[in-house]
Order: sequence, then C-alpha cells, then structure tokens
Amino acid sequence: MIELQELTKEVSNGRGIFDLTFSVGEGEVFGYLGPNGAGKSTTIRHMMGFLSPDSGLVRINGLNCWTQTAKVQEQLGYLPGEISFLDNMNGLEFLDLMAGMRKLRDLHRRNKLIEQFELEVKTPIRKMSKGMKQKVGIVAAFMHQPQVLVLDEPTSGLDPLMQQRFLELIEEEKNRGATIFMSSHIFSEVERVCDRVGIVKDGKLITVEDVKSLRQVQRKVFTVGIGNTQDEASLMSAGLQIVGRRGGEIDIEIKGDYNEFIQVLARCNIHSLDIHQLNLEEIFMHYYGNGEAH
Amino acid sequence: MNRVLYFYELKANMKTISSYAFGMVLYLWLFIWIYPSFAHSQALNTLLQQMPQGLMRVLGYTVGITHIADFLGGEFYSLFYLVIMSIYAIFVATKLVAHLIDNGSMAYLLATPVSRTKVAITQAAVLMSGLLIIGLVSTVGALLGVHWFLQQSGMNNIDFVKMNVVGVLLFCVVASYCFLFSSLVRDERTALGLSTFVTVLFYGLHTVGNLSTKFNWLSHLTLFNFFDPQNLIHGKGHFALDSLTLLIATVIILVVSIAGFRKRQLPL
Repeated sequence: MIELQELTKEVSNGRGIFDLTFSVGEGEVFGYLGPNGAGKSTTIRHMMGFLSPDSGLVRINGLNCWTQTAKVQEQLGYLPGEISFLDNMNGLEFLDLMAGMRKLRDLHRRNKLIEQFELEVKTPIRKMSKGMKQKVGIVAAFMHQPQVLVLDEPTSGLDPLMQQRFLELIEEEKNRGATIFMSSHIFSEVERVCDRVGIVKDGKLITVEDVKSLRQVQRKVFTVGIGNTQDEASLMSAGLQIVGRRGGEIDIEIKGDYNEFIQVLARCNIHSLDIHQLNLEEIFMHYYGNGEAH
Repeated sequence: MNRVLYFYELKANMKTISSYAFGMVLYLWLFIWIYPSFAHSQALNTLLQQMPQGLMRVLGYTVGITHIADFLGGEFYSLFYLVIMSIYAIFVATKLVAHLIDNGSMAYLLATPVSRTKVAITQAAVLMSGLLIIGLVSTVGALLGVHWFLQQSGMNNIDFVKMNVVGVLLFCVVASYCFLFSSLVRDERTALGLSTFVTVLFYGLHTVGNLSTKFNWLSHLTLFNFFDPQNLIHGKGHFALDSLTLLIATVIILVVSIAGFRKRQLPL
C-alpha cells in the first residue's frame, strides 16, 4: 500500500533522510518512531507530495507520490504535525471547505466524528486551544473514510480521555481495513495500536520490528517502595537487576522474566509499586546495547 | 481551477476588496466634488503654466487642467490610484500563496485531490477577480459621481472607461509579478519585500524619467510607462496595443508562477 524505495533527500547541512526502504501492507497499522529531528516529518512530506526525492521514490496504492499527487490524495487522509488553518473561519466552515474540495457529499461520518470527539465546530479557529484544533484536524483527516491514513504525531495536544478516543478510532479504522501510517515519539501509544514499528534516527532507518517482538525484548523498570530494612536487604540480594536506589525505593529492571520478580516481591512488605515508562531514547539505548540494530 | 476554493477565497478576501473599491470611490467623489473650486481658479492654471515641463509631467499634467478629465487624470489616476492598486496587488498576492505556505495551512489545501496547479490557478483567479472588482466599482462610481456632482462634465465616458481598462491591466501585471514572488520565494517576508521593492522601483523610475528630458530614457524601463492617464482620458495613446501587451505579459508571468509552484519544494 505504502512503499518507500531507497528514499533519499538531503534537507540542509547533512540532515535529511537517507536510503529509506520499507513498505506498509494493506490494512496494516505502522508506527514510525524517532526522536525530534530524526526525519519523520520529512518522510511524510514525501508521501504527501510536498517534497520531491533526491533519489528513490514513494508510492501509495502504486501511484508515485510526487508525480501523481492529486490522484494519491483521493484515497488519503492526512493529519499534519503542526496544525494551522486558514485565517478567520470557524471549524465547520473549514470542514465544509475540505469536504467541498474533496467533493464529499455524504457527511454522516463527519458528523459522527464531531460528536465522538465532542467538538464545538462553531468556534472560530483562532480562539481554539491546541487540542481543539487537533480534533478539527482529525475530523478532516478521517471524514472521507480514506483507504490510507498518514498521521503526523496525531495525539499531541489531546487530553488523556481524547487520546483514548483517538486510539479507539484507530482501532475502528483498522477493522474497517484502512492502512495507517502514524509517526510518534511516544512508544506506549504506538505499542498499543500498531502492528509494526519502524524506528528512524538521524534520517536512517534503524529497524523495522513487529510490536510483539519489540515488547519481548523491551526492558521495564519497576520502582519498589519498601517498608523495612530487612526486606530491603533480601530484595537486594535476590539476584535481580538493581538499577537505582533512593532511601526506601529501589529501581529494578526486568526483561521478560516477571515470575521470579513477583515471587521475590511476595515475600516482602511492599508499600508502593510503580512502572517507569521508558521513553524512546531509552528504547533506542536498549537497541544499541543489544547490538540488534547493527 | 477549483470552484469551492475560489468562492471560499473570494469571500474571505471580500472585505479587503470591497474596502479598497469603496475607498477608491469615496476618494474619486471627493475629487469630483472639489473640482469646481479648482476649475474656476485662474490662479491654479497660471501656476501650472509657469511650472517647468518636467514637473508638470511628474504631477501628471501633460495638458493642463481644462476640464474634469484632466483633473482626475492628473490628480487621482497619476497618484492615488497607483498607490491604492499597488498596495492591493502586493498584499493580496502575498497573502494568497506565501502566507499560506508560511503558516502551514497550504498543507490542507494540497491534502485534497485538487492538484497544485489547480490550487495556484484558483489563487491567481481570486487575485485578478479582486482587481477587476475594484476597477469596475471605481469606474462606475466615478462615472456616477461625475454625473451627480457636475452639471456639465464634458468628459468622454468611453475614453474614461478605456483609461480604467488600461489601469486595471497594468495592475494585472503588477499583481502577477507579486504572485510570482509569492509562489516561488522562500517565505512571506521575502515575497512582500521583493514585490514592494520592484513596484517602488518601477514607480521611482517613472517619476524620475518624467522629471527631465535628460532622464527620459528611464521611463522606458518602467511598467508604469504603459499607463498615461492624461493622454488616455483624451483618447490618445495606443489603447488596443498597450492593453494587449499588458494582457499577454500577465498571462506569461502567471504561467511561469504556476509552473514554478507546481515544481517547488514545500516545507509544509
């Protein structure tokens, strides 16, 4: 559905994207992860036909994204990373303009999305908060039920409840059979909805992995709060990987083997237990550390 | 061209267009209204006759004031008209493309099955429609003003309309090179700067070129040379040839702009 072949584009002073080759199959949800400045948006700009490749190509539905842009757009929904709309209009006027330019007659889906995201469409866009604008963008991207969705950091600006709604929407679209490409720097949201993940750094593709296998090798850090020094000593000597310690709290790294950890914990008097979410850099570090990236 | 986008943009810019158009009409009426007090002033005509030829031309008087047409051609169309139309062309051309690229909203217009070429043609059509509306409203307004405020104008309406046609066509060319900058340069400020610079340069050459016969050659370098209201209003000059030249120039510049926009890298 989406194919990148040796896509290369130097943007400025050595930065850009280099030799990206991967593809996203029909009905697949593909997460595109990378730190800021890794080249995620540059990749997406090629899919949208905003930039032309120095070499290589991007195809969606078999159509070249640079030479057949308008045709590609017929079956594509796009949510930009930085949302900015035309001046002096309200949400509904904007959605009407988009629907008009798409020649979209059936507005059921649009109205349902507006309801689902509790969007007050009559608000002038310049008075909207970032989250509200994001919702308008989401409705514009999904309202015509496209075959392919390209979403650039889709949950940024949304409150946790709306992030949840959004991830449900992705699942709904996936069940409908849509192919979804979403960029993100938050691993947890990608982990939840994506089938596969591509990790990009400094414009180069580091790896493309199944989310399942990524999860297996992923390490998790638990912070355990302990009541007495005796238990603390036994926990320290239990052979677990201790990565940090702050008076009464111990950070323990677990990789796959939860049983042993639980058994040790069961013998202690625990007053708190936290899972520390790993950020993307830490996942990268893990990747480099294991040598799997090379 | 995309109809939906065209009407949206036209509506969005209607406030600007109508304020330019009606502002122009009000100015025209003011000029027509005060004309009788000028016309009967022997002193003014004597003054004008005593001025050096070059200065007369700069002020827009090639033939002196003998009736309303000279007054409008010399006072209004040689200065106010040029300024108002230039400001419209520069600002609206920049707003229609460069501004949308700078603030990123162009991404939405291009994230539809409407091709870049069509988007650019639509934006250019909006720009030109605005010029036509301003030209039409001010022409009709001026004719009505002359009819209402003056008993006997002695103005040839056909020649007056022809002069307005050349004026609008001149600004079609101005608007189209502003559109070229707007479509091709890196950001909004550069587009605005370049458009202003070129227009002021043309106007400056026009002014200096008319000042003395020594600098007369300069006026051949400027676009504004095509528009000589004092002659046109009396039916002199090459109306058909000049109009055609301006029209062809507009089309060529627009085609280059649109082709350039189609190929450019958009940092959206």
